[in-house]
Amino acid sequence: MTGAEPIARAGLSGDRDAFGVLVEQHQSSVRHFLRRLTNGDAARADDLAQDTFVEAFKSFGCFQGRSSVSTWLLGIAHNLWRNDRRRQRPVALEPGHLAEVAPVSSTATSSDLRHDFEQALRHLTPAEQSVAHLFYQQGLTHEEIAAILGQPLGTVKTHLHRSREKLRTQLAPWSPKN
Amino acid sequence: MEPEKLNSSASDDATFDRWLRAESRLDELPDHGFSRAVMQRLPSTRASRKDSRMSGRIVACLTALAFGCAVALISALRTPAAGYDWGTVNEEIQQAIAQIGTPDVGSAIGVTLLSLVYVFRSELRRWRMKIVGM
Repeated sequence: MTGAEPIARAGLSGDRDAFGVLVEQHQSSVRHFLRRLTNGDAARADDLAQDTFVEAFKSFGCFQGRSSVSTWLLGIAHNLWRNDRRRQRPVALEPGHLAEVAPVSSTATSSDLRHDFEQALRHLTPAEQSVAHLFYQQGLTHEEIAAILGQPLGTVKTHLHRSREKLRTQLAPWSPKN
Repeated sequence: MEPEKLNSSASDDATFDRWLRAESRLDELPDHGFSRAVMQRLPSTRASRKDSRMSGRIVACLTALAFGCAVALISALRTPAAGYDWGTVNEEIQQAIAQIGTPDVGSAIGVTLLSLVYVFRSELRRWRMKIVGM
């Protein structure tokens, strides 16, 4: 349990001030994740992120403490994005088309490697992108990713394995062994 | 479904993962009013609704207590022996305390306490969570 968990508990039990602290603590990771899922559509991602926190506030009774608050929030974000995508019925993007999508991270230019990482992610399938984003950029474990995406652990490991191989190829010039 | 080579170069994978995690970790996104926008969209506070329900219950309990005291006081004033001296009062209090141990009174008190716990169960859960910092 982190020091932030009591604040999270208070925030999720309806204390508005504590919930404000919770939003400030988690807004970045939730918005980053949704920007990844929406292929960099910051406006849509932020709308979904707002919905995520409102939903968390309304449904705190469902939070049973089996996972961290962060994992729970990212799980809500993923569900809302999935529902939103169903409603919008978008054209499925193939990995090749993803190269035309605008960069996701506002900080991509702050580091050449991060920029190349963002480019490399576009060579992954959407499912692999989600797993790679959560694993590498958000530092989550396999189990946490499985809980967020609602996928079996083995599927997450498979996606991560494929992502790793593709990223290793794409980022070969940066690799520490080179 | 897992690939056969999943564990073939575990140490290479771990090294690569460590390196890439360190190098690709995202910076904190600036809030730029996001949190304020979320707070404005929150429904009327669950806490304030709970607090008002809580206040209603407390008022009901206090009203019942006041009513009980009033009934006891009125009946005492109507009784010819109302002019108690403190020795008599003390004696009667001790008798009353002794009555608590009897099955009838003990059961009544137990039922009352259980009823209070049931009525205030959600508040008790919240207080417990705050106290133990869950």
